[in-house]
Amino acid sequence: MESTQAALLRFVNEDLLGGTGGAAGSDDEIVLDGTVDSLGVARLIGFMESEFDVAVPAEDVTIENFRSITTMAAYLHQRVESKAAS
Amino acid sequence: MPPHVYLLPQLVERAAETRPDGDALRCRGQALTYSQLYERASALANGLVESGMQPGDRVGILLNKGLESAVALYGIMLAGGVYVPLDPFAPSARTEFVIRDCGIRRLVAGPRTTPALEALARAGVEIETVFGLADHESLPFPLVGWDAIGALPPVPPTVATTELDLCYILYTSGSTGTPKGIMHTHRSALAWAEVSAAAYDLGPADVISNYAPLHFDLSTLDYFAGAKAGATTTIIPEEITKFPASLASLLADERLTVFYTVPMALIQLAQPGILDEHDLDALRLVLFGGEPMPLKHLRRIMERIPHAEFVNVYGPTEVNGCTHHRIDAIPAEDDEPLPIGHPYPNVEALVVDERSEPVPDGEPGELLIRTPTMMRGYWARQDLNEGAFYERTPFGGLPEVFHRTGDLVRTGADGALRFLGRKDRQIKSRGYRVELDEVEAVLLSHPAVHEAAVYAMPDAEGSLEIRAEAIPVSGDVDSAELVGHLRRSLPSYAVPAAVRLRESFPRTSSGKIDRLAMQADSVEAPAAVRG
Repeated sequence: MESTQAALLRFVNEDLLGGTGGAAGSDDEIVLDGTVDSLGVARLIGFMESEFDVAVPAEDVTIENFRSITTMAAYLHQRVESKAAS
Repeated sequence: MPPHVYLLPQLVERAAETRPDGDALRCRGQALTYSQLYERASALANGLVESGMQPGDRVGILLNKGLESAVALYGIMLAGGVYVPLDPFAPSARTEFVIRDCGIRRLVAGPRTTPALEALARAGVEIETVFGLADHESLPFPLVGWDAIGALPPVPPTVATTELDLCYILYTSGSTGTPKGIMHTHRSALAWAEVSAAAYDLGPADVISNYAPLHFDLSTLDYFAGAKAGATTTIIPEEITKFPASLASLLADERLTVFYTVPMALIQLAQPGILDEHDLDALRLVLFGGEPMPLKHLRRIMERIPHAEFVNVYGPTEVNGCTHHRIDAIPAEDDEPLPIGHPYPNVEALVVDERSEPVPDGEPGELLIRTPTMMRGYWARQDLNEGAFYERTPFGGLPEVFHRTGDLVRTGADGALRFLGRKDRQIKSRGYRVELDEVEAVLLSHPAVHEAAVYAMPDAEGSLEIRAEAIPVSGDVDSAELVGHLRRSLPSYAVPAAVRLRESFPRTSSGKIDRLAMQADSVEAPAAVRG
């Protein structure tokens, strides 16, 4: 769980925000506050799918799941668990 | 007979008389009736005039999408001012440029945009008054909060504005490296509200989406055709537009009847599982524009909302909407691009060759548009204004003025226009208008960049993705540094994911950078290059 969060944080701060002086924290509402735009959301999904080897179906791409890095990590954790159980 | 409407805010004044308790706007579960909107906008106008604002002054709107946006834009116009939407998510350097370029001295802002205001203060931008905020110790600007504005008379001040005066300036990407301001008058904006409200039979029962932010010209139909019709406009918060599943819920819950958006939003909504659980029975009309819509995606979304009419709307910000194509049936399997259709009534379209002579039907040429919805010109850019218009002089010796769209089109056998591409290097990426030359100019301004090339490649969603390559002066710069440099000046939608560093560029025989060869090369080596 901790490492999922750390990986997401690194991706957001380096790949999405690098160079802007912006540094997102785990509980910042990065989509609501506009730090991450729609292209950023698409890149985040791509990162999740390649880095954690899970599928992120379109209906899961909601504000609730993507509110902050903490909620994204919780969502990913649940996806990985359900994949392991199936 | 009701009094004639000459100015945009008079649309709201009329609606406040005919349906005072009808909702003008809704956002995040809150609403403003037409009478509330008119009163609050009038109070703001009084505040602006009290602060010393003169007719024709530009006033910036630095707000996240919300009900205050509507109060701000009508309030500014009721005071005789020109509203200039500032993208709250743009880099500070870009906002600062726009403020200095058109001489903005007053802003309407909100609690969520105080970080942007702090950045402007640090950059030494002088603002005489910020409306919509009170008691913010971190800000060196005089502030007037909504409580104080609410205590002002709810009747607008008397100002001498004519329909020929400016009402807004929308800034868009400029090829020389800085944005350019497209100026519209009350007449040109009202003409578009009239044409579009009539074309789509908008009425008081309609609930129209506002998908686009204020600085994107799709918003003018949502606001002004909506007010013309006395309809309700539902403002879709920025974050919802990024999440198709959340957007689908909003479309259903708000019982929208008209949805005006960009192709990307429809492509995302058509993904499996997104619309399945939602009741979109109220949705009668889907308008989309901003860039070409791939037919295979159009087919999928039309199958999912079979009862709604779909219309492809075309028109650069310079002329508002000028042509449209009503889609009668789900297109068959052929993948010829969707037409941009026929001119609206009150629009003359010419297709011309390089000598500005009309071409025979079916031949490609540049599209020229003559319409009352046309802009006044680009703010303080005589260089651009000289090339933006074409004057035809057959009639009584007086020129008839057309806008040169820069779009290449041809007329099909059915008489409908087809979009073929651009004369220049302007592209649309996810609905946003980007000049590739602007991105290239900013990349080249980095001291470690010797040469730069920026081009577009098709992406997985049927839009275009921006790619960049650079030859460094020396070896000690990386992609992340250059991407960061671009992010400090350009809006996020104009910034490529990476800058590919190379020792040399492919060249044409005359020594020019061969961007076509780069594109071909890029197909084989996708953007897996991360800095």
